[in-house]
Amino acid sequence: MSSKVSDAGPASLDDATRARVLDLLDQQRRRISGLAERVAAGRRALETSTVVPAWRSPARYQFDLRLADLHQRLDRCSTALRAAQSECDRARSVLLAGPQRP
Amino acid sequence: MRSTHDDIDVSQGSSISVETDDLFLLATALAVLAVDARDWSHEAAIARCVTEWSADAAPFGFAEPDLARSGAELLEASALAESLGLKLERAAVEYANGEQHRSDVGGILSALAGILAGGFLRNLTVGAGAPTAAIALLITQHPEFRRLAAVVGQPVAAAIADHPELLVSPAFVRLVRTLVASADDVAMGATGVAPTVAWFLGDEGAGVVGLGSMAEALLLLAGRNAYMATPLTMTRSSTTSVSAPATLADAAARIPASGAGKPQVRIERYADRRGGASYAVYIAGTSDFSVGGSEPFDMASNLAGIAGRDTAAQQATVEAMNDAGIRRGDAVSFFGHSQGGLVATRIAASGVYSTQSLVTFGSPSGQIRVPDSIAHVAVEHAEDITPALGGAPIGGTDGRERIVVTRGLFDETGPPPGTSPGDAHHMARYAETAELIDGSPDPRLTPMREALSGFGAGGWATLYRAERDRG
Repeated sequence: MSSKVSDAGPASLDDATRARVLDLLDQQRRRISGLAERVAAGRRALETSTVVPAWRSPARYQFDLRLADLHQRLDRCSTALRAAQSECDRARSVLLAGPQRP
Repeated sequence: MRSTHDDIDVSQGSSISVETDDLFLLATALAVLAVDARDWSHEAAIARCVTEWSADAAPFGFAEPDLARSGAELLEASALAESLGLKLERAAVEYANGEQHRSDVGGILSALAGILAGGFLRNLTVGAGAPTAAIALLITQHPEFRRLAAVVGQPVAAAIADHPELLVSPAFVRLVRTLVASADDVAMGATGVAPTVAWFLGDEGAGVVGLGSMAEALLLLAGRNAYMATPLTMTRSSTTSVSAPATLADAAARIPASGAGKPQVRIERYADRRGGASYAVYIAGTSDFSVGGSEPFDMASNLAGIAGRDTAAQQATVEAMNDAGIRRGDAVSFFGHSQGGLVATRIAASGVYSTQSLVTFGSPSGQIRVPDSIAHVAVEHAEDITPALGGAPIGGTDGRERIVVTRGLFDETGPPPGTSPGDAHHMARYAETAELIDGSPDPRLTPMREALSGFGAGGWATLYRAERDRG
C-alpha cells in the first residue's frame, strides 16, 4: 500500500498520462463489474440447483455445512468485488482531482 | 396427488428416482461452478494487473487488495465446489446402483416367484394331472360346483367386460411389466428346469434366456409363417417442401398415422448449419395386429423386434432411408410411436448413423442400450401397457442417459367409465404430452431441444409405404 498515492493525490501528471491511467481505471472497473455479475449469477444458479428436498443420507448434515461454506465464500467474493469497484471509483476521483503538470 | 393430466415427470433411466437425478444435477452444477470459479479467479487477477503492471497506473491501484481477496476466495470456492461435486457424484452413483440393486432384488424375487409358479403349473398339469382332472370332473358333473365356479368366476369376467377402464391404471401397467420381465422364469419353471439353473440362465443371471428368448418362443409358437423375412415393395409418395419442426409437439404431429394401407415412414431432409445434410425420420406404429399379412408393421415385427431380430418394419425403414439418400454416418433424428419407436431405437443403437436425437412415444424399447451420445427421450403414459411389454428397462448408471418422461393421463379418481385400455396408447394423447414437454423447463430435455434446433430452416419431406411381398 505504501506505493499507492494518498487521497491528496499524486504528483502532477501530464494530460496524456492522466488519460491513459483513466482509460486503464475504466477498463479495470468494467472488468470488476462484469466479474461481479458473473459471480452473482453463479451464486443464484447454485441456490437453484441445491434444492434437494429428500436426499436420504446421514452425510446430509456435513454436506449442508460444506455447501454453506461455499455460499459464504461466494458471498465474501461478491463483497470484495463491490469494495474493489468502490476503490476503483475512488482512484478515479483522486486522479481527476490531482494537480496537472503544466 | 402425484399425477394429473397436466403433469409430466422427467427422470433419467427407468429405475433411478428423481431424488437421485437431483443429486446428479447438483453434482453437475457444482462441477460447472468449480470450472467457472477458477476462470473468475483468473479474471480477478487480470483486473488487478490492469493497474499493477502499468507504471503510471500502479499508484492508483486502490482496488488491487480487494481483487486479490476476491481471487483467493474464488480459488477456494472452486476447490470446494470440485471436491463437493466429486463426492456427490460418487454418492449419486452409489445411490443409483443401490436403487438398481433394490430393483434387482425385486427382480430376483419376481424371478423366483416365476420359477416356482412355472413349476407349480407343470406339477399341476403333469404330476398332479389326476387331481386336476378330478377337480374338473367334479365341477362339470355336479351342478352345485358348476354354480360355485360361476359365482366366483363370472363377476370377475363381467366386471372387466363392463369396466375395461379397470385395466387402465398405472398399477396394472406395473403388474404387466413385472409379469413380462418374469415370463422367462415362468416358462423355465414350467419346463422343469431346476431353479438354480433357471436363475443362471435368466435375465437376472447370465441372460441366456430372457425377454428376447421368450419373444422368439412366441414367434415359434405362432407358427412357421409368423415371421418370415420377406422382400418388400416400397412406394414413395411425392416430395413436398417443409419447414423444420420447431417443437417436439410439431415433430410428434409428423409421425404418420398407423393404419392398413397408409404410409409408415416419413423422411425430411434439411441442409444443416454447417452446410451438410441432416434428416428427420418419423416412424408409425403397428398397423396390423395379426401375422402373415402384407403389412410389415405387424405383430410379427413387434415380437421379432423385442426378440432382438431385424424386422420387416426395420427393413422398410432402412430401405426408405436409403432411398432418401441417407448414408452411413449422416446426422439423423428419429421420432417413433409404438413399434415405430422400437424400430427407431434399434436403428439408432446400431450406430450406423450419426443419431442426434431419438424420441419414442409409448414404445417397448427400454431394454435396448443406446449410445450415450444420443439425446434419448422415452415418453410413456403411466396407463399405457405397451412400454411395459418391453419388460424392465435398462437401469442403474447404464440407463442414466435415457430420459423417461412419464405422464399420468388421469387423476386419482381414475379414467372415466368406458375408457379403453388402448386410449392411453393413442398417438393423439402422446401429441398432447409432447406439448407439455415443450413447456417443461427441465434441463434434462435440453439436448433433445438442441437437436431439434439443429435442423436447417427449410427442407423436403417424403412419405414411404412398404408392403411385404409374399408372392
